[in-house]
Amino acid sequence: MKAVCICFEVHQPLLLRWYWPREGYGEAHIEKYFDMEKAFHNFTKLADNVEILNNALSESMKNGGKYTFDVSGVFLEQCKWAPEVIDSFRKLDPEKVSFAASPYYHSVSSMFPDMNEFREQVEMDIKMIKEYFGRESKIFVNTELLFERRATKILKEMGFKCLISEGSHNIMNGYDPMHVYKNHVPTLLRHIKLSEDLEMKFSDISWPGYPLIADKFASWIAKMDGDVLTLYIKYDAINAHLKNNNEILSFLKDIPLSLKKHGIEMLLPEEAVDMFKKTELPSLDSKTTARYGMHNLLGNHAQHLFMHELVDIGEQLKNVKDPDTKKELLRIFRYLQQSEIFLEMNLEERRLGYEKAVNDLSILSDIERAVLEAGI
Amino acid sequence: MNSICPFFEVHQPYRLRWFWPDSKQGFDRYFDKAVNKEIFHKVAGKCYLPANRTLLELVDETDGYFRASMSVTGTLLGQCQEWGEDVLESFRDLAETGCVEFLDETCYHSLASLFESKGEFIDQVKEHRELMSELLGVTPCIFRNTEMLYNNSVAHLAKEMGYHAILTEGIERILDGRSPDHVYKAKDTEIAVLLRNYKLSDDIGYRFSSVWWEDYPLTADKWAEWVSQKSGETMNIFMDYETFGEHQWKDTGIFDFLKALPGEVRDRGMRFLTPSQTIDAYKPVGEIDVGDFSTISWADVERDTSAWLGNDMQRRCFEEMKLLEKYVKRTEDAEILKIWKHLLTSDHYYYMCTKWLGDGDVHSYFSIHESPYDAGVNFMAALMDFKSHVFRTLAEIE
Repeated sequence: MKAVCICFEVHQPLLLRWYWPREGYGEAHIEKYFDMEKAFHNFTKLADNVEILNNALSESMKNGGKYTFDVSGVFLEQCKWAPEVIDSFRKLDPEKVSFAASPYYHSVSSMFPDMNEFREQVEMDIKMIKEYFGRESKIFVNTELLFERRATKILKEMGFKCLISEGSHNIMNGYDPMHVYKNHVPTLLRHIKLSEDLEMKFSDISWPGYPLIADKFASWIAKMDGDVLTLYIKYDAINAHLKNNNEILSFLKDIPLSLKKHGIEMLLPEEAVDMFKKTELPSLDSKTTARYGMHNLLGNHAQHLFMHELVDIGEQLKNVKDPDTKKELLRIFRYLQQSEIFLEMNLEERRLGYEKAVNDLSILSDIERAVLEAGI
Repeated sequence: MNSICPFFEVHQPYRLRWFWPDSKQGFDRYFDKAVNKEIFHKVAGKCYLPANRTLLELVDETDGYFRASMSVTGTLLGQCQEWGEDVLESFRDLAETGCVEFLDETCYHSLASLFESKGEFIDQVKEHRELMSELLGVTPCIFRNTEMLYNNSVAHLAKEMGYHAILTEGIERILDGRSPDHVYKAKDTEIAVLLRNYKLSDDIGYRFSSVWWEDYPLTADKWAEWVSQKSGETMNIFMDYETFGEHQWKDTGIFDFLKALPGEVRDRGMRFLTPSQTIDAYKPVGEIDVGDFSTISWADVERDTSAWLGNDMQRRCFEEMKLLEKYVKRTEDAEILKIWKHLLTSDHYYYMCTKWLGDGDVHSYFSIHESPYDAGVNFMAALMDFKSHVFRTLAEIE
């Protein structure tokens, strides 16, 4: 292996509340439908450690580390609860850091029949990155690492240099993704197993790989024969390790040095796509994918119903005339597109997923009502 | 025991489609015509037609000694009008005998009595009363609420609407040591209350063909003997009419049991009485007091409202229906009103019940859904679509 790209997803969803219609047919506003308390709680848990984590990354960068951050608009808006979180990312060495764009609301808008919503959310995200981090996004990562051809054409038009997506079995056919792949936009595919080693297994004492130190991880990568390995990891998962296992900080600091011992360089994705030749991967012309499979996002009856109504609400929204009402309803409509809302309706325990779906459809129904009333 | 008062609930709901927002419009957008028609024909063939014929024969053969009562819901009567004129005709024949008393209930076998405001409940009872007069030529004077849902308010309303008696479940917690085998009256109002003897009712309705039951097989002789040993005045036997031929198939001998019953009862010096005759024959021996927050019913082992409003899915759908009432009525659109009223039918909520404690099989009976969770998602999906239709309609007219 010649190079490694590491990308962190910095995001906390704003999930739907356990909602009761008896609250009445009033005005629609975010707090009525979304669980702000839970979001605040989860955000705080992460915010408290951002400084520690980013300090470790900063050390890592001094050792040759380079990292890409995929900060969602949803997360950025939560930063109003602790603005220093934004500063902590801003302080990182700009030479060693890049910011990836994605749909602002961590949304499944690329699955809508009309791509305008997707395009608008990507533009919002680009603007946000420019405004808060002063950077141009050259890389795009779709929500849940979704890969769809309709989106890639748009991304090319928008001038992205690199796309990161899921290296799932149906795309890779059992091989490890280790190259830059040819596409409308040059594509890097996430190495699922090694990403999950860091994301989920790192603190698992029963895992044979435990304890995972940077040297060990680097030696695994060194054995693989390819150009570039892509790791895409939830930033929050790294934070979760901190609770039981401070070693994650040393791991991050050491990993560039350990890789260097094997002649492996850490690169930003935009550098990797320039450096390596693009390999053909025919499955990219015919297949779609997403983290843990498309069926998890849009597989069961409840999810299809939710999607259908959501798209319908988007159409109805065009009739709303009062600008203030429209602004708030549009914001709610966009928060409703968060992938986690879809994932929750498809839990392994189907009963829980469906009970949640009844709740979510009830919320959607109230919003549709509010949109219809505002359209009068 | 002096007499037996049999009552049968005769009901089929309009079941929902497996909902998807397609181009269908109106009532058929939400309700599954094909499935409802098929079930109606199945149950008519196995139960309604043969059971009605058996009752007619019993009245004839015993020269009017045999008496019974029943409540036919508006939803079933609607299905008879659509698909089974012969079934309607046979109910009419029963009414003409004068030996089978017909009762009133909410037209849609609905949960309207559980609303805080009682307007819809009263409307639906009136609708049923008109339908009974129009289709069967009778004017009921006895009331029984959906699935025997009962509290003091329901009794008051029944009295105000002119009914002489109301039927409900003879559950221990309202009897407080007293026997259900007497006429009672409601608290603070002059309406008689007839209480189901659930033990002897369920011997026929549930246990009749259960081989695990120590008293299996049940014969008319044996059952009539048990009843005659009891010390009360009236043995109120209330059950689903589908017991005959559907819950208990013909080959279990349920029709033979029914046919043999009058002879066995007469041999023991007892009579059959309709609810009206029962309250004429016996004076109330005490009062029944059921607070509005302790509503009872005959459903499941809990015998409260939990079969319909026991979990969050059910409560959420019900709350939404309640909230929608005002808007539905503002549309003044007959079809919208009809759909909303049929969505209040108790069965939809019953299918979403997740208790599954011995009652699960009863909940899934006649349900089109594989699980209560499917039922919940499907109902909410249909309701959501309907609600947007209501608000679109309001937007057009206002």
